[in-house]
Parts: sequence; structure tokens; C-alpha cells
Amino acid sequence: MQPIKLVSSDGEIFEVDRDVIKLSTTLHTMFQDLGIDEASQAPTDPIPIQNVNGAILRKVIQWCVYHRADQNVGDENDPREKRTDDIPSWDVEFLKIDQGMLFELILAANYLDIKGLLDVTCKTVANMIKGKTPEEIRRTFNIKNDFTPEEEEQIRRENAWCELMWKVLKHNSLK
Amino acid sequence: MDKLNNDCLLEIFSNISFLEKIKLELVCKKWYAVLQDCRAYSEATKLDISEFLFVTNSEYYQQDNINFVPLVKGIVQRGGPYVKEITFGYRWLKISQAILDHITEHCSQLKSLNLGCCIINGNLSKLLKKFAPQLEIFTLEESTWVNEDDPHEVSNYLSHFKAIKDLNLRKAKFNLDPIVHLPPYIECIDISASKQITGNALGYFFETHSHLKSFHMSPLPQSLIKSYSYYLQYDEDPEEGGLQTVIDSMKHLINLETLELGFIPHDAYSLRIDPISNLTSLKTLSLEQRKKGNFGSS
Repeated sequence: MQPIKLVSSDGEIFEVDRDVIKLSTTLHTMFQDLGIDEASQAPTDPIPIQNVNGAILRKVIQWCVYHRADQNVGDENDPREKRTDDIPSWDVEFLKIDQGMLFELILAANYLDIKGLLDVTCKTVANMIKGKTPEEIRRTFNIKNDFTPEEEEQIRRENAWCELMWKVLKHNSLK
Repeated sequence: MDKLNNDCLLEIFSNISFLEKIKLELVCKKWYAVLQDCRAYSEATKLDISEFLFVTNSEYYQQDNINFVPLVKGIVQRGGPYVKEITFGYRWLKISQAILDHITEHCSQLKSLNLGCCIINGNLSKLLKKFAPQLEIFTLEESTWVNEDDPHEVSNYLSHFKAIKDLNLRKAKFNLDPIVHLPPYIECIDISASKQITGNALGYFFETHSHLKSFHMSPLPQSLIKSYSYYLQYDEDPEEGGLQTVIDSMKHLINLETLELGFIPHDAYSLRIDPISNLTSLKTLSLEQRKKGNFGSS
């Protein structure tokens, strides 16, 4: 079975095994639509991945290679609040990257529809959000507060019923 | 962070708890906008309002100056069409008209509503008009009413339930005769300690609702106790049917698995309960016996 060539937005070419490609629902579906199955000849032209640059695509492929044999686990329709403390240790190491790259990875995982990668990257960001005040969150991600003081006051007033609960939650999490 | 589109932000936020997500609305306009998308709170399918109340003393919430309308509004407007079940957690919370109205307005897909052990200070007409055709589970168990005219409205909407599977009207103070209009495939009903139902209506209900799996009537409805006293006195069933009519009609309940009946009078030699022995699907039977001398005195 021949590997398939992918080319990033900035022209870098990668050779990837088909069972690795399968982790991307977007690419997997595309191949199916084109009638390319495992028995058929690999396309000779590299497949352009327009929205992803070489540095990110390398990272994405690295993740997919490591997780190529993963079994699908977990119920997607589980309505309960998701856990974020269950990121595998390999992924934790893998995601020790700067914020910019982390967000690029999320976008690439979303675009290529790689469920597992989207999941761990988003959980990693969620963990950076949890337990912080809005101001601390803005500082963490360098987000500008674009509310006018009046708008901010308005939202605060509408959500005043949460204040006590936020305090209790914070208190409980510090215990 | 600026580059992330709304779908990616929603995916990130899906890992954060309901209450903490609300806090994120204050971060910036983009986050605020994303969190107004009804998908942002799509995990809120089962709401237990009592879980959001951090004072554990129930009496606290019965005070008239304690207003948790903004809380219920804040929760149900966010959960919106994802909310399938609402309960108030049997906490004797005081439920005002505004709370009922917010639920009516926002939870278009509601399938289960539990107002058990609530103090209802409002009228359920509007709510039932909207939800009765779609509710599968509805509980008014032991709930009390501030205005004594309000419960009677429920009676008018019993015929509107089209999908109901499980109906708990324990201690209902309104006329239950209209339960005959409930859909034929209802599986579970509790009318224990209710006030008013005639033997003929209940008998007809059994005749037409043979899918019933679970029936609870312990203690007996007050009207049946009264008609049984009549029977003991005059040795004939009252015109509107009595306890014997009810028990005789139980022979239709061929799918009944659970039957709770009480309090059968201790000295009721004249009451024939043998039709119960024909219920071949029955797995659980509870026949409470009233202490001698108490029966019929009320």
C-alpha cells in the first residue's frame, strides 16, 4: 500500500500512510468520494491541504502517527460535563507548545476533522481557562476587553445570580 | 486566540461547566456572542434547579423576599431547546408564575417536568397548554398551592396529555375524573391521597388503559373512602361507583406489574379483592391495611 502525498499551504510535501490519513474524517471522506480505496493506486499528485502550513501539518501528522492504532472510545452523545483531566501523558508532552501553535493546531484539527486531536487541544485550552476570572483569562490569552464599562455592568447585572455560586465554586476548588 | 472561529471556541467551551461558562461571557464581545449561540449550553439536557441553590435550608427558599426567578431564567434561557427534563429536586421551593412562564417560553423540547414537593404560586394553564401534548413524565407529587383555585386548572388539561407515560398526581386536590382521557398507552400513574375521583371514572380508566404497568393509590382517594363508608352504611354502591367498582375493573389491567393499594379497611369483609388475583403480570403488590376503627371516620 503506497503512502499518500500531502502538500501544505506553503508547499511542503509529506508522505503519509493511509491508515494515518484515516484519522482525518475530511480526507477519509474525500478519498471515498473520489473512489480511492486501499487497493487502488495512490494518486500521483500530492493532495493540497490549503489551510494548513508545513510546521502545523508536520505536528498534525506526528500526532496521527502516534495515535494511528487508537480505538474509538467514549460516547460522543454523553450529555454530562466532559472531564479535562484525562489527557494522555504523551499528548500533554506533545502539546507543550506556544499558544499560537496550539490555536493553529485546533484550527487544523477542526478543518481536517480529526476528532481526537481536536478533543485534546481544546481540553488543553479549557484547562487554561478554568478557575480564572475574566480579567485573568484576558491576560492569559492577550484578549482585549472591548466592552464599554456600561456594557460590562449590564452583563454583570444580568448574571448577578451567579455571583454567589461562583464564589462557592471557587471556594470548593481551593479546598 | 483571535484566529479561532466560533466552532472551535464552542468546542473549547464544551469542556467547561455550565456556571463557569456564564462567567466567560464577560471576557470579550466575541466570546459573549459565541455563548449566546444555543449550542453553547447543549449539555444542559437535564436540569435540577436545586443543584444551583447553595443554601441548603429549604425554608430559606420559601420566604417571599427570596427571588430565584433570575436564576431559573438564566438557566432555562441558556439551555433552551436542549432542555429535556426539569426538576426542582423535591426541595419545597416556592415556584412563582414568572418561573413557570420562563420555562414555558424557553424549553420547547421539554419531555419531563417534575414539580414534586414544590409550593406553586401560580397557574399552570399556560405551561400545560404548551407542554401537555409533549410531556412524557409529569409530577405534581405532594405539591401545594398558594392560591387554592390554581390546582383545578390542571384538571382541564388532563385531556391534553398526548405522550404521557408516567403521571404522578399524589395528593392532587383537583377532580381526577378526566384521567379517562389520558392516552391509552400510559404506563404509570399515582393518584394516592388525592381528593376527588369517582369509582366509575376510575373503573372506566382501567378498562381503557390496559397498558398500565404501575398503579399507585395508597392512601385511597378521599372520595373513594367516602363512597365506601356510604356502602358500609347502606349496603349498596353509590351511583357514581365505589371502591368495589374500582377493584372489579382491575381485571382489565393485564399488563400491571406494580400495584399499591391502601388503606384497605381492616374489617372490610364485604370488599371482594379477588379480581386482583387474576393480574398475571403482577410482580409487586402492596396492600396497606388501615388500623381497625379508623376507616371511614374521616
